[in-house]
Amino acid sequence: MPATLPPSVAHVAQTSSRRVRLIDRTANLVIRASGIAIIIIVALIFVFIGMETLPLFRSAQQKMIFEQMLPGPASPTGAGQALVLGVDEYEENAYWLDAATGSLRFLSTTTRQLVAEVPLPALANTRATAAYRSPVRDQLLVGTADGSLVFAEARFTATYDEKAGRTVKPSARQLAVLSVAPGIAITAVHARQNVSGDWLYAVVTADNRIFSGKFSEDEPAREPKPVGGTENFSGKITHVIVDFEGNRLFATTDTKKLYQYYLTENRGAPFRAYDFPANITALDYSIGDSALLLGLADGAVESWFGVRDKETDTLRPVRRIHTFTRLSAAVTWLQPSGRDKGFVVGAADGTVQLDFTTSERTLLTSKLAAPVHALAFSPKLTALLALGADGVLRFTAVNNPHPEISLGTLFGKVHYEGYDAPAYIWQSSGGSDGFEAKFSLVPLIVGTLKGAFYGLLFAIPVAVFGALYTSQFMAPGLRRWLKPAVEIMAALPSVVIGFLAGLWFAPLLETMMPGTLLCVFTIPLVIAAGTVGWAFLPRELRHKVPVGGELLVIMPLVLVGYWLGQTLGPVAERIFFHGDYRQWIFEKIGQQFEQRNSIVIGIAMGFAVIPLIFTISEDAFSNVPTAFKSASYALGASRWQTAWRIIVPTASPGVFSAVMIGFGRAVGETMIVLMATGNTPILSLSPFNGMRTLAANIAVEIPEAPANGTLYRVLFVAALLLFALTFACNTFAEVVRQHLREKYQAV
Amino acid sequence: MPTPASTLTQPARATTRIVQLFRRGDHLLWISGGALALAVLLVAGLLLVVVRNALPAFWPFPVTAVDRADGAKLLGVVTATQSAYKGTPAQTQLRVGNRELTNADFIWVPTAQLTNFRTPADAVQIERQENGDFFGFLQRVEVKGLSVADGSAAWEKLLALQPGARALATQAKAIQLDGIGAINAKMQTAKLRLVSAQLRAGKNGAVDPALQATVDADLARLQAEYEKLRAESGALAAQAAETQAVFTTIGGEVKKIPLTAVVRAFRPNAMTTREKLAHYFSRAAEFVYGQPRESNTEGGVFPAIFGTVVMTILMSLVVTPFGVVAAFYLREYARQGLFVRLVRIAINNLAGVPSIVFGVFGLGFFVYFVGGGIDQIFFPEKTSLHLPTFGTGGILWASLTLALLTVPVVIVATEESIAAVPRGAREGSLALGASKFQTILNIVLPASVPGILTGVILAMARGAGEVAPLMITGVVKLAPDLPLDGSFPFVHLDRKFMHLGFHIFDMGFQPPNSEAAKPMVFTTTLLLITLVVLLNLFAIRLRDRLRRKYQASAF
Repeated sequence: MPATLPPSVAHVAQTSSRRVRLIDRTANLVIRASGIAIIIIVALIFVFIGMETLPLFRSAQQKMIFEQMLPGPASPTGAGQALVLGVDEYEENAYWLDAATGSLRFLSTTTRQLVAEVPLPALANTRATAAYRSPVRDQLLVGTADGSLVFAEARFTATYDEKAGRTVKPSARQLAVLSVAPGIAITAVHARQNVSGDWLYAVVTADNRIFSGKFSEDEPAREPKPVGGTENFSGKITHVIVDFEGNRLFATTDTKKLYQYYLTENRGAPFRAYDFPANITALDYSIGDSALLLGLADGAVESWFGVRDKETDTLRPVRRIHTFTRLSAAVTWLQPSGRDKGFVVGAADGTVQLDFTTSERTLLTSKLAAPVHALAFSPKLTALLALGADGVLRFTAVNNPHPEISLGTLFGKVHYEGYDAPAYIWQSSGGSDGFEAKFSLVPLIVGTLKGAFYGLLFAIPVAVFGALYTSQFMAPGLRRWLKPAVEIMAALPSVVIGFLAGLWFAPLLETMMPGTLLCVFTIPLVIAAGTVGWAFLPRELRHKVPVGGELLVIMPLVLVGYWLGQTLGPVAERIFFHGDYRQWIFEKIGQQFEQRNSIVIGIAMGFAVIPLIFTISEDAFSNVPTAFKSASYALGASRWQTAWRIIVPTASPGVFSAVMIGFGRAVGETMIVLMATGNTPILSLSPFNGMRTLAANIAVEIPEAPANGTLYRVLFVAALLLFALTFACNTFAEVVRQHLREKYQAV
Repeated sequence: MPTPASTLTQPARATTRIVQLFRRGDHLLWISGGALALAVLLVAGLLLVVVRNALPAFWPFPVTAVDRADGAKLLGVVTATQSAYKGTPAQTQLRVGNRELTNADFIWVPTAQLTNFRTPADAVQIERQENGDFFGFLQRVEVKGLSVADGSAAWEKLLALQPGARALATQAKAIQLDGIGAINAKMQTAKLRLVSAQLRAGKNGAVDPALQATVDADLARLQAEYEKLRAESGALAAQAAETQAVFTTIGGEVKKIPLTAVVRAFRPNAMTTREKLAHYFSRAAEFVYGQPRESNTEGGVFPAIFGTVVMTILMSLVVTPFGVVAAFYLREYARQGLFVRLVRIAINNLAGVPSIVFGVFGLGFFVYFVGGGIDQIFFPEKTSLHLPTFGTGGILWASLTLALLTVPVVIVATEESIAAVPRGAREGSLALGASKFQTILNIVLPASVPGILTGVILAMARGAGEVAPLMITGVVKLAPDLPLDGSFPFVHLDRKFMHLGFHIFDMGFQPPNSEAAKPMVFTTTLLLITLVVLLNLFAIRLRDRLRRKYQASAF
């Protein structure tokens, strides 16, 4: 052919064909690349959500910044001269109370030089014998050899300069001195500050007595009060702690005992005494002052708190709740964090271990060369200061973003502070600093399944029977008229359904609940009665309705059934529920009736799920080969018999996959549950209260969750769960459907 | 069985017939029909409820004066009645308005306590700029404290003066919004220039003094302009406020209302049907074109409509090419095998993944990861002041999230329409020497355009009705600025926007005044349903026509 063409045409043809081939090849490449890219993007969703959750389960990281001998004049007692340690919030200054000089010493963590030394005047003529630093603030309480208490604070003033940037200047001052037991040395101190800034303190004196009291800077000092019953203690008192109400006090002795007091109720004698397998060598409250943290001489680390007892309601004996990784030597120091339920313990073999109470996780361990003498967190928990008995100070940077999360806290029962038993609870935020975040996904998963269950309970019968009727019995003309109805149902935005269900339907249903429940029986009964009545109508009248056009008769019957149900409802309520079903539910089942309950959800969710199940099952029913039907009719089976015994069993895998897909939709539905339930994350299957689902929980909480925080990532776990659940459901359904389709093709 | 003769034969026949009927399962057949009927009735019922509540929302219902048993006189519109239920007697709900005087817009009163219902012709209902509606009787109109009209002339005067006063108020507001808004924006830019210079100079470097001086001068000039505009707008507002209408409530209290605060004044009891219709359509038009007032419970939903449309269009601009290319890849280029089958299953199932999961992805990936990254690179000066630009929810991220959500819809529809292109057409093209791409471009693509369109419209309908992923990627209850406007660069992809669906959620779920919000939320619902259902029905009709066409032309 080209030979016969004029050369110019041939040239054009050649170049154009080259161009065409080039374009073709480019297009091939581009489309392939972008096709694959899109598929990768889709896969990315799963991967990205998964990646966002991973940091939750990573353990904490630490990086040693420096290690050096405690500076300052050498002391014969070694590290023993440092009574308490602290770090400022900028992590630029480490400080400690030097017992020998009675001064606060500040070490710069950047230059590693001593930058300030502030003597406390009250310690000029006596020696500090015990000290305690508040885990929340840079405030100290020092007990002296002459029986006085010294209140002091360290201050850090940051100044900003355009040239030099930030400089932090440490200072310290003595706040007050209080005489507790003149002439008798104080051996242990503990204190808390309440919201108005008053100190609630407790001290142990060398004569084995305990004093407690309240101290306020603006009020005249009050006499400390002795705590009774200590004369009967079996040994020497080693530690004492008191809560911020000045009420709950615990003391330990060197005879393996722990004594519990409720000071406002019973100051004269301990409320309870507990025996331990070894001496308690470290004791403090975790933040919030409701859980005790204990370290024992045998290396055990435990958390104890009060649990309601049968006879005592407000006075609660304590019980061992959490145990942590056991140390291989005696615990020497236990430092609770000032921000969360974490704490760090040190042992006589130099081990330093970071634990978290709620999750019982051990997040970090490291080892000093000598027994641990003292430990301190920085206020932001991003640095840890450890002092060995050999006087070596170690400063470590810590990255510990999600200590409270473990598979156990997400999916298992956890014994939270203040609760009587381990429980599944979701409560992501609370009012106080001592709040223990509760991240159990179980109530949400149960809520999700509950919502889906009630949704399907209503949707499956309506959708599947409706689909069966449409595909098998309905006149084609009518079907064309019906389809838009289902399409509209499928197209309804879920926010509309949720709004109507929550604001219009729920209050209405409350007044007509018994009648609505009765409709489940009355509607089918009226229809069945209608069938009988229909058979007795004159033939001419019946023939006016075309074959497969029964729907026109059924529709009014449904309305009649509904009317009957609603009419009988109040009657039934009077007879069976003594006139008020809500009262009856409360008395007999012991449940509070909620207006936005699972029945509302069931019906509302039905709107979302019915069209899906309907369409897919109708497809399955219609795809059953006609030969089956014809054969059945030929054998004399009726229309219903054929449908029920032949069509339904054959199409059942298709119906099953329809239900699976409907389930997937119900599980992920957000707006309906968000608007039509109370969104309380309770663990209950009752139809008369609401639920909070995984999806609604995400919608409620993620706007308030700081990016990359624990809550944020936990919500990603919820999203991942939803994704996995629906993806599994849908894939399973899809496989079943494909299998079914192949089977039909073979027939 | 009226006659004795039939009593002998009929019962036997009747029983047999009934037994036969049950044996055949006719009753079950009917009950299954009942399930379908129930579904249809539910949909019809839902639509009816929405229409029933939405349509009368703008109608001026008669203002009723009524005496309560305790001697109080009430003036308002009867909005609902409730029959007695379990100890609570029958109640009537009245909208009595005058929120600042009575503290309650809507009150429930036991019907038995209400007597002497009457509809005074001179009762005035006023739709106000704030504080909800006012009900009362007009006494006189004052300008600068002096009465200019009273008695029957007052009403005419009020109607005559109200547009002028409103216009002045609108002008004052426009100065505040546009003029002062623009100055604020300029001040912000000037300050950012300084921050940006500081960032360039480094932590310890000094900013160029010349720049510092210019910025300071700019700021001073802008401040002066600002003062001038504020004085101007204040003067206008004061001038507008000079005209006041003096009312008495039914309780006899005197209330002065500046005409600037009057959106609409009308006397429902004296209106003719024609006037009522005009009123109805004027309010309906305000609903569609107007700005929301009174924390969204009054006025219009124009920003929400606009936001929904812009977001949907942005979404389809993204989803169409991606969906179509992916479909062509799967259908025409990929080697058909297990992998493609798996991909297809995955894409089908993606449509079933809950929308909130996409929202979470959008928030984590688009907003924080991509948006945060863009901010770091392109807007360091704002980021250093913790002012995110793209690192917070916005219309772009919301659209992209929805594009991901709807991509399966487009892929599936496109694939279906590609598959429906007759093989003959394709082979004919190839036989004539066209390349594969030429065939696709010239034969397959044009033939599948209606199918693609169907997919895109379905995707748009889905996108318009979706709320959950939007509320975490950029929708807000009140956005002062539209995502498209006259100020450079015209399209503001970083802006937050309003959305009809979220509007419903917000007003329905956390309304400041739930009764007052009810008419608005129902009308918004009707609007959204109409939009979504029309889009859907259009797409489905298109697909059906397409299917029929190919059934006919297949060879």
